[in-house]
Amino acid sequence: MLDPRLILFFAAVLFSAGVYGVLSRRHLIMLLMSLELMLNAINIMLVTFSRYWAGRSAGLVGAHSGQFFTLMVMAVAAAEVGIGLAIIVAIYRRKHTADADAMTDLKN
Amino acid sequence: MSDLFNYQNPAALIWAVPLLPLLGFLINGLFGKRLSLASSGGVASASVVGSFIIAASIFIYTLPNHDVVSNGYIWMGTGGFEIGFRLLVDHLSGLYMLIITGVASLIHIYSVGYMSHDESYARYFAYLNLFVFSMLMLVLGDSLVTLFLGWEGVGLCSYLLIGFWFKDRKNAIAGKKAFIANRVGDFGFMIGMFLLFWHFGSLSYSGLISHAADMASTDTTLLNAACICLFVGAAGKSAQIPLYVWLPDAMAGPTPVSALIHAATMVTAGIYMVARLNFVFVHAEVAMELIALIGGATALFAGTIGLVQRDIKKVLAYSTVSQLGFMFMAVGLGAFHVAVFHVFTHAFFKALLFLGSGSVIHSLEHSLGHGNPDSQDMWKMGGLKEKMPITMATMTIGALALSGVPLFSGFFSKDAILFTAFHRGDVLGYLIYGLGVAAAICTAFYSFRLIGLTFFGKWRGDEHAYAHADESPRSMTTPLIILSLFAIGAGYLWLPPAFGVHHPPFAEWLAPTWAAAQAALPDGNHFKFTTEHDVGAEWVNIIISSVIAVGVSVFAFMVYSKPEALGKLKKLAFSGEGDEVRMKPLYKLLLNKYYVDEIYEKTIIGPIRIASDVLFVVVDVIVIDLVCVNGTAMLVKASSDLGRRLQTGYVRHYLYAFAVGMVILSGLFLLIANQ
Repeated sequence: MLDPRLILFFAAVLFSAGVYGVLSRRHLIMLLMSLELMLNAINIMLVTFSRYWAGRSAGLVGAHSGQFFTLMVMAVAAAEVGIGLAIIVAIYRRKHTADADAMTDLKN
Repeated sequence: MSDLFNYQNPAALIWAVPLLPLLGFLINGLFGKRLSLASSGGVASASVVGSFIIAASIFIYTLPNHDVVSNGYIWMGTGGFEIGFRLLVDHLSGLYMLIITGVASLIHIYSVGYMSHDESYARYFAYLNLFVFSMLMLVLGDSLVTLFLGWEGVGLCSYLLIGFWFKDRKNAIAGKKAFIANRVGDFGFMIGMFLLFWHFGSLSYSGLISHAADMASTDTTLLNAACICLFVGAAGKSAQIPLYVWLPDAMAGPTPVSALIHAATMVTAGIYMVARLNFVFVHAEVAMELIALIGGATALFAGTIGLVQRDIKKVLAYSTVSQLGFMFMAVGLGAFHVAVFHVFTHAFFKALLFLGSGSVIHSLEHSLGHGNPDSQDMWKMGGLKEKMPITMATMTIGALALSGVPLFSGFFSKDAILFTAFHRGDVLGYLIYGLGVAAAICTAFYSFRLIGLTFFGKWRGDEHAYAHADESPRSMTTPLIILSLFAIGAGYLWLPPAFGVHHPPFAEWLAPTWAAAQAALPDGNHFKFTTEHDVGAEWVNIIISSVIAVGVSVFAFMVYSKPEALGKLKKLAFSGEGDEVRMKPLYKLLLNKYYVDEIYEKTIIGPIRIASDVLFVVVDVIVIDLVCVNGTAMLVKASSDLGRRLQTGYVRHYLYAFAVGMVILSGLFLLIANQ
């Protein structure tokens, strides 16, 4: 069986890549993609925990709740991407740029 | 509604007495600009006359010894402290209520004629109605707090009416002076009130009077302190030394106002308050002696100033101060009923004299122009009896009553005061008696000086004005005639025992007011009313005062009504010839009112002004404006300049902070968890 620590390490690397992307990228779409990366890293973790540590005695639903949660996160992420992309398109139409640093309308 | 028509108990009806003038005030105050003189004056007069009729019916109801307490509500209530908002008509307040509404009715009617040439008549009537309302609240309230409400109300109306012609700066200043002098008194009054509350835990008359029996054993220092403080308030309102200075200046207001507020009603509020609290005052020996002395001193002091004044209203103003002094003499000697009797008679003859002087002024202003000081200068009058016979006759009656000429009302009340002092039989009594007799001499002198200078002799002013002088309209002379009847008759309600009257209706009527205090006094106390009468001493006293009153009146009249005597008089007052005419020192001292205003200016007002300037620069400009207000603003600005830098507006920066914070927090968590 695969060592769960290996999978968790992979998820941590994926999450860090996402954080780095959010902090370093200026393009809104890149930000959104980095966010997706972080969400999926979390999903991997949830599935791993569920698979290796959830007790059998918790019953059918209890034993698989981590995996159900993953499905939930994916659904929410899909909705988020839908709204996020729509906002980005709207902003681009207005400002002709998708640079996050240009979004300074509330300053001063 | 059924209460309103319940003749067995007119409790609900009492409210109509003060509320009718308030309604008049609202109508005139809100819609006055759209009302004609007739309707404005009509509304004001009708509301006061209506109030008088209701007051009279309630008064008749209370005659067979019923007190009436109106319905009311709890105005302030916290824990054991409770102030009700109720009206109380007992014998004392019932009498005052009648005097106020009665005299005010006549003066309202008079004012319709007097103010006919003034454009602000609606404002005038609104203020006058508001005054009547406040004065009624003052006397009808059933606690010291309601009294204080009216007390402040009449002070406000007095201020508004003194400064009625506020376009003239000196009138506005006179109003301000009255208000400030009264505030000084009010401060004392409030402290007195707090002292009473502190010790007795109540401010309602019924609550205080329930302690009447154990006041004899109460700490006299406290009672004296409370009574002196209350008297300071009374001295402010009733113009006694040292706070009398505002009353002569109050003559800047329209003359009917002087008659109503500054002679007949408001200035007697101090007497009312002391008489109302007689059960406290009788146990404060020191305070009573002080009151008697100040009363006597004021009576003589103001009387001497009145001797030389040229302004007809100023004479009457100083006369009022002097007469109020007489009332306080009586109060200080424990003869509260005599003081109230003098209030009663004085209200009629002094209102009469003021209205008469108003009639003269009104007539002369036609040709001299409004506000011309010549229209009030007695040395520029004379011989007006031909032109204004009714005014002359009624004013003479008023002067006879004021001088205390036998069988006129003032004689009986003033004589009763002097006899009280005489009868006391100790040093204080004789001192007060001496002051009183000296003041009575002044009174008789200036009264007939006024009559002689104004109505007799030769006209000394502008010929044109004399030609146009004419008797005032009937709306003004009718109140004069009615008041003169009272000036003659009011005294017959209390004939002295020497006349064989042992149960005078006036004294009997007021007896319940003093019952509680009298019951608490031990036998032989100064302030215990005696039931035996020393008829012999009384006759002596009556003869002395009659001789003084008649003798001095006749003398003054002879001197001032003859043109040739006036020339000789000038030699008494002036020395030197031609350009070097100088006033003799005594005349100068009296004419300048003993320089009291100047002394106050130097010793009190000047230092206060300097202190205020210092405070203005140091406290207001530097501490408050610079340090507190602007300093706070600068501090906020500087600190927000620092905080502002944190908010760059870049999402990235917030995320950095977020991530760094996250890392630090997780690190801390791990550190703690591993220990």
